[in-house]
Amino acid sequence: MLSYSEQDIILGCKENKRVFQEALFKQYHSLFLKICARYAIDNEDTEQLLHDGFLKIFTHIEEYKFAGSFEGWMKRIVVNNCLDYVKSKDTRNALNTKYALPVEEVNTSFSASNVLKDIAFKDLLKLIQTLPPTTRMVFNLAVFEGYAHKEIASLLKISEGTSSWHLHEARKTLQKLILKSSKEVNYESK
Amino acid sequence: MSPNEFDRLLREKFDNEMVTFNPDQWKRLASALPKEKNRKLIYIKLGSIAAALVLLGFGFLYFNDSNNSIASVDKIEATPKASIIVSPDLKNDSPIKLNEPTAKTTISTPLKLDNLTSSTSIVKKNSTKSLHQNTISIKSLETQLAIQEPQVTHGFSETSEKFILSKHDDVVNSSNQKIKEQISNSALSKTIQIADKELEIEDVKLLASKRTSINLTGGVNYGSLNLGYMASISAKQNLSDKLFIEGSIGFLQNQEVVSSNMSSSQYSQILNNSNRGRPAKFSESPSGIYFLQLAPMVGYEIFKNLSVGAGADIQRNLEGTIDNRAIVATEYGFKMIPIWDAGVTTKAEIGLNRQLKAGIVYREGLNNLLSGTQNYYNRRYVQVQLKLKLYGK
Repeated sequence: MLSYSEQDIILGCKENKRVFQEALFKQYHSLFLKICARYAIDNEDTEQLLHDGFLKIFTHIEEYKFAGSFEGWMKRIVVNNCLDYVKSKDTRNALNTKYALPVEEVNTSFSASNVLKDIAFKDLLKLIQTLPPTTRMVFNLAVFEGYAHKEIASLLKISEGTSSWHLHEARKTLQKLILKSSKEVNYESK
Repeated sequence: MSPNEFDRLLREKFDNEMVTFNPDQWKRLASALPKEKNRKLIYIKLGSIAAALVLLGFGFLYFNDSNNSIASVDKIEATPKASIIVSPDLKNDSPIKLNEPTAKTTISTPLKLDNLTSSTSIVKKNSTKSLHQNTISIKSLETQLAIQEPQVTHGFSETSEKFILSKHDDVVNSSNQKIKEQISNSALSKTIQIADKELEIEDVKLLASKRTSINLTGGVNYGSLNLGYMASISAKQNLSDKLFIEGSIGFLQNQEVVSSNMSSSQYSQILNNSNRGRPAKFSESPSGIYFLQLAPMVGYEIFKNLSVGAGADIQRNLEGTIDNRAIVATEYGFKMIPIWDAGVTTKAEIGLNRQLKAGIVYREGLNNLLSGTQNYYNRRYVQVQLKLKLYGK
């Protein structure tokens, strides 16, 4: 496969040339699929979010004027598309029926590094997908997208304190879920 | 474990995971993207536009050679309030004879109709004393000069010939310059680029059938009745994806017309030599001739931004009546400006953007054909239009 520079790809995409669009898709589809997966309910929605995100990138690429990081520009489009999805009423209803029930108190003084290494990516993704909608959005934006609480608060129309609380809750819940998941695996293996 | 450590481990977990490329995902996305530009199709479209421009150029050339050209102000200055004394007895003493040196005055000095006397065969083509021979256009003068050049007795001195020819060259150069400017300045050249760009977005089916739009149109005529302006409002209804009907109602003004007014009966009397001994009086000449236009049309969209159409064109002269109508002096005699002017039009239109279109209309008058006479002035013209969409998709 021919390799193109980022500028070639951008210019090619601006001219609606398939070969460059495919090159861009191949280069970034893994990264964006993982972003979409963190917000989506299931695999089907993940693929739909990826599809819609790339479609928006290609149809708005004329607006990219080579100011700032191209990856960052694309990432914002994909994340905003995911946020719109999560904010939609239908998605919220679906998420509310799936998010994690209160986890019983467990000893979290475990070796997270070992547990996280052992846990499969798909299982970890499923655990994240069980977080309540707002908690999940705050967690994703803060941990993976690198947004500050001020930005998150503005984006989700919540206070910074609430954003901070959601992040704390997300970490606590995930750690418990990971540990629980790990124990269950260990128990089954015994 | 600190929160930062936990976050870092999670990020690493995600970063290290590589999702394999799924070709089906790409196929699905590619099918949803706007279709890639087909080079061959674009060349065909550009070729069509180029061919249309060439045809337009030929149209202008043909038009300039038209028999309908009227005597312009540069060539003859007819006094608007002139009256013609028609006398059947003045066969030999008419002061206007092309075979005499006085013919020079028809070119170099204004023709004063007040002083003009002529035979009753005033509008007959072959009369050596007919008025229309004194109102011939520069083009026909040139032809006449070419034929009669060796005959000194015609009274056209070498100096006057040069004057006429150089004047003619000026007119031709000026006309060519105008055409060049029209082509270069017109939105057509820009339209080619815009159309090229917009044609790429073929998946966007904005042209759903059964849609209606209301448009405001402005245009400039270049035609047999000199320059004119047009403003109209039109409604367009799609019958299918490609086929549409359009109707417009508008207002036209023709400027700088060398004409005078008389009644239809006076015109008939002159034409039939039935007014012997009585003067045919011209009333005041209009400064412009105004028309109300109704133009239904059927059109077809060849490409997304290029459509052609043909239709009828009915125009009502707002100033003319049977008793007082505009008469134009042409090289083929006096012709009546129709009060009701029936015609046909063909039109090519190019979309500049979603709201604005540029069009070229060619109109041919049908009054002579319908009446079986040659008494009407054929208002044949090319019109360049800009159309703004006011309502509808």
